[in-house]
Amino acid sequence: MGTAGYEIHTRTWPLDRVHGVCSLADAVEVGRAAGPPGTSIAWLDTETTGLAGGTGTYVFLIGVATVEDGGIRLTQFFLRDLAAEPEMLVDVGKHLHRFDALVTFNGTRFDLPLLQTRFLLCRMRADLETTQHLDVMGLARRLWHRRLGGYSMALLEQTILKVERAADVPGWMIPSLYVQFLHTGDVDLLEPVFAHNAHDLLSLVALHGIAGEILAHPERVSVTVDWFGLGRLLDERERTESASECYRRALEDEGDPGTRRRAVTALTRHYRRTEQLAPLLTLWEDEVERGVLPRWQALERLAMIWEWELRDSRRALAYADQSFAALGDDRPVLQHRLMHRRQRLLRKQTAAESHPDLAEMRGTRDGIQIRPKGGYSSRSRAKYATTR
Amino acid sequence: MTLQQILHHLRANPPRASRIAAWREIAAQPAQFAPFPSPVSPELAAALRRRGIASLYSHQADAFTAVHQGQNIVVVTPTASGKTLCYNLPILNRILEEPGARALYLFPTKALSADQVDELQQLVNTLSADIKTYTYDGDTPASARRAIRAAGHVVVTNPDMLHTAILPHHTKWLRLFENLRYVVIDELHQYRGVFGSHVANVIRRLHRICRFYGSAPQFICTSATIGNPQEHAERMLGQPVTLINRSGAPSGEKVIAFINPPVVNRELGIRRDTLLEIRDLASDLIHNAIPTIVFGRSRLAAELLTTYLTDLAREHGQDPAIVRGYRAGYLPSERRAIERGLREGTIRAVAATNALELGVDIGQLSVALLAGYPGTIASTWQQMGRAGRTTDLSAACLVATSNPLDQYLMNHPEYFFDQSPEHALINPDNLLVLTSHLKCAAFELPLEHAEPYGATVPLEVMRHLQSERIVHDDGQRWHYVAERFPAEEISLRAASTENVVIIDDTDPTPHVVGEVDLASAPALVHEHAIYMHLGRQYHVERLDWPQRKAYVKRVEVDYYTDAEIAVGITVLREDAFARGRLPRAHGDVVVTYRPTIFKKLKLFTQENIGWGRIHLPETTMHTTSAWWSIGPESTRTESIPWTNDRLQGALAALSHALHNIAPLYLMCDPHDLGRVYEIRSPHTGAPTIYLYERAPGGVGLAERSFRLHDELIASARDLIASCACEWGCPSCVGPVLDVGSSGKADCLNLLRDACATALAPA
Ligand SMILES: [Zn+2]
Repeated sequence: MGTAGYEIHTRTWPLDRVHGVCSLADAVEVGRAAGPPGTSIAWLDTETTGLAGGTGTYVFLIGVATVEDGGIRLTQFFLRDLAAEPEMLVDVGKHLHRFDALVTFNGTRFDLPLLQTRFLLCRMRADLETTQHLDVMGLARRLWHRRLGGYSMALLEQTILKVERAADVPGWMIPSLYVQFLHTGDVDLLEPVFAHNAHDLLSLVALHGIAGEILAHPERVSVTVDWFGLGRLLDERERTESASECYRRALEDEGDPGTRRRAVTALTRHYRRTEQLAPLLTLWEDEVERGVLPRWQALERLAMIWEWELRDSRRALAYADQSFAALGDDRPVLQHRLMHRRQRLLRKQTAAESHPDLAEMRGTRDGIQIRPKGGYSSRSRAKYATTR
Repeated sequence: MTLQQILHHLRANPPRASRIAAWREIAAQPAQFAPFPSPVSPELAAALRRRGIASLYSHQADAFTAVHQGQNIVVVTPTASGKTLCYNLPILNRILEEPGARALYLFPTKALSADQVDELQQLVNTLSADIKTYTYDGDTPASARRAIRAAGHVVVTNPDMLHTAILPHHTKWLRLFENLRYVVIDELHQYRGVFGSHVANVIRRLHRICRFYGSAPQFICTSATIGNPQEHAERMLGQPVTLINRSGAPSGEKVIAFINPPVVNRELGIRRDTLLEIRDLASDLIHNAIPTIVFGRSRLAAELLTTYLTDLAREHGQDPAIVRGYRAGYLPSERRAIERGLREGTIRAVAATNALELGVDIGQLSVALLAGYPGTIASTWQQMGRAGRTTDLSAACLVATSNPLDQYLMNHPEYFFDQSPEHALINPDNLLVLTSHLKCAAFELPLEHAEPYGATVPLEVMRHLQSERIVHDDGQRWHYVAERFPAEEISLRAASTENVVIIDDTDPTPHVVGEVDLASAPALVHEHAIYMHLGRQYHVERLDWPQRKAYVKRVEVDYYTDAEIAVGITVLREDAFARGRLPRAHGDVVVTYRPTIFKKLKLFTQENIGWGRIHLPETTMHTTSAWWSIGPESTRTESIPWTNDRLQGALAALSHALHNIAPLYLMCDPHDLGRVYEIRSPHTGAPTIYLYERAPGGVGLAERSFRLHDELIASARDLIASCACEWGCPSCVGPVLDVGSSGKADCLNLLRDACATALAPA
């Protein structure tokens, strides 16, 4: 249907259709936990004449999936004749206006700026940039990149969604198929492209669902995930308890020092904020044992904890000495920093010994949560910040 | 001593006076002032007064009025005549009236744009108006780009960025294009030949994008003196342009002298070294603290001059820091410091390459010394124009080398003084150039069948692009449908922008001292070369060619090095061949540059104190060439004893003549073509001359010269026959020292025979 210049193809999938690991109905339902805010979502995916971007890349197929009439309704806008682009975009704009949120895969960098350019070139001002939008690729990168070594849709279908693509057209061939169609007028050439776009949208809905499920119930995740990445996502959503649980799980087998340090740091922040000093201590003692992070670093953190959180400058000094010993001779800046800490601790200790009544409360180690007297003074926090 | 006295001394002292080959005195010109035209806003006039500009020079007022009337203009006035106000004044005035208005400034180089932005910014600051000026080039951080696109009143960039970054993404620049009122093209004369033809097409694309957004900017161009500024601007813009060339800036009296160093070896006709001659001339100038600029033709010459002049300063008991070198390889911060020093007077003498030909503002200098003829009349005037004061006397001296071209000028100074400077030629419709830019144009916006692009969009080119599936015709418009980003495949400039970085690792912390462009690197920073920078010497320890890095150590030695590069040409494929008295062909060739040896030459005396081999891969360039051989019927003539010398002279003459004539027919710059000749070519087996394209891959100039053969040889014949010179001159077959006493006549005979057979019925 549609005018001669462009066509609108529609079809509807029943909500009980299973794509990947769950039904579309479930995916739509649990996907909401991942966002975006809004009451009606349109999942969007485009096919283009190239990947270069700029003004000379056409969007010849715009697929939009929505929940309508008790199913997932797919509306594909197909640009049959390049001259009809303005008319088609008017219709696309009208269609998208019926929904208040967009979900895409790589829409932030690709589909949306490209569509925006096409609207401008057809002298229309689209408000795509202000529409609520969730780019599932952003979630996928955090959740799977390190685990799977990539996060392309094809890879995620294989490993996470477990769906098969039968005789699919590879993405790189799509631009040339369209040019061949323009040359020959043979629309059959593009049948695989329409199918590819439809399949991409089904997978997008399913992946959105999985991401929503993972974010809603991190405690019962059944697929491979990067626990650290998930922790970060939860942190961003201010679900700090769940986030720290993820960091703990990440630390169970994390062997990459960079990621490990970031996870430990995130946990440290969490324990300090919630004033859980015993787990904080255990956390860093474990790091000394584990030996993934540099030993001097873990020991220095222990010195800091004993100095500022547990207020025992003697124990702190002992750790500072151990840290100093563990540090090589070739790190003058760090050596200087540790020396500085040692000197301060020495002064504190002398002060404490000469004024026993002012001695700070000392921590013991029996799993009891210990708070320094009077909680955290703003002074000690400030000091902590400067010595970090 | 004053400059007046120094010049007098020069003419009065017989051994020195005998070297003067020409002496011209140009009378002083009083300033022609004009009041601020009435449309200039009072606040802008007040800001200018605060900056010490109480009234305008007449050309600035003329420029303002013409722009105010809606005309495109090209301003051609001398260096330091306040050219920039010709565009800043109307543009700032417009922005003050209409704060939404936008302007685009195009400069050919970064050094220039930095300077102009500075000047504009200072004026804006005095105005205390909210006018934002931004530079958008390869160094602009991504984070700043969005702000520039949205809010810059004046966007300063270069044609290359316009081509690859702005036009293909014009929707991001909506604000700029919707409100674009003015486009400034500074140094228009730089855009000539193949480069200029590319830029003309970028301007055509700019016109299209502006039409799309409903704007029609006016163009304000500036140019150094060339033979055809108005015609050149009109071809560049495809629109009528008003010429503004009557300078109202005052100028003091000026002396122009040609100095020919004395012959030191009569048998070989070798003259005293030009640089040493310059050193002697500069001695009195430096002693008397007269601001002087010295131009060398190469980097090596500029560095040697720096060394010599620094030494002079020391000899005269002055701070050697008053002498500085200035050339393209210097780091931007070094250039800025030198420019500032010159303006403020802490630097009194500068040794430069033609980097300073560009309009960088260095304040007023009293004397310009040119070490050798720069190659064209236009650039000679430009370098000489670097010296000039508003009231006082100034002088410019061209000091000749032993080179035939220089010697010709010394013997025929009228050749220089009576001739108009060269024309800048471009051919925006060059098929290859045009095709490349039509791809970009279609990428930017679909091309209407009847749309103006130059004249109209050429149907046959678009059909070709259609058959290649690069564009698709929907019946009314061509749409770009290929996947590649076309602007990235086309470089506007033939020269690569790659550099070799020079790293000084004398100290434990190595640091970058400069860079040289890739093409000059084999000659300047081969292993064991003495690289000179800011008058300091460095020994090249290692050249890491793949990494483009040269490692050097600071040294103090009494010699410098000079490398020899052999240029060769090999035919890869012959595309077409035609018989005749001058059998000719065109096709693909490889031009090779092979660094061979370097000589160690003693400073000050040039004494050869050693040599070494250069172990570097030869650099090659694939391009296209046309070639002509001298058929056996010509060389077997009984009447002429064809010695090798005589044949060589004839070949030199013929290649020079064709090289002179071809650009006029091809509408290119002489620098777009190189020439080589061989007494016996391995490819043709006969004496052969080649005209090859300097742009890698070529843009079809070679094929066109092959096709235009009949016209070319006929006009070469007419040119030589009608040239008044006796034995040859730069305008016809080249100077007699190059072609020998029989070169001109032999060449003319060859061409006459070729014309006769070409015109005879087949
Ligand atoms: Zn002549």
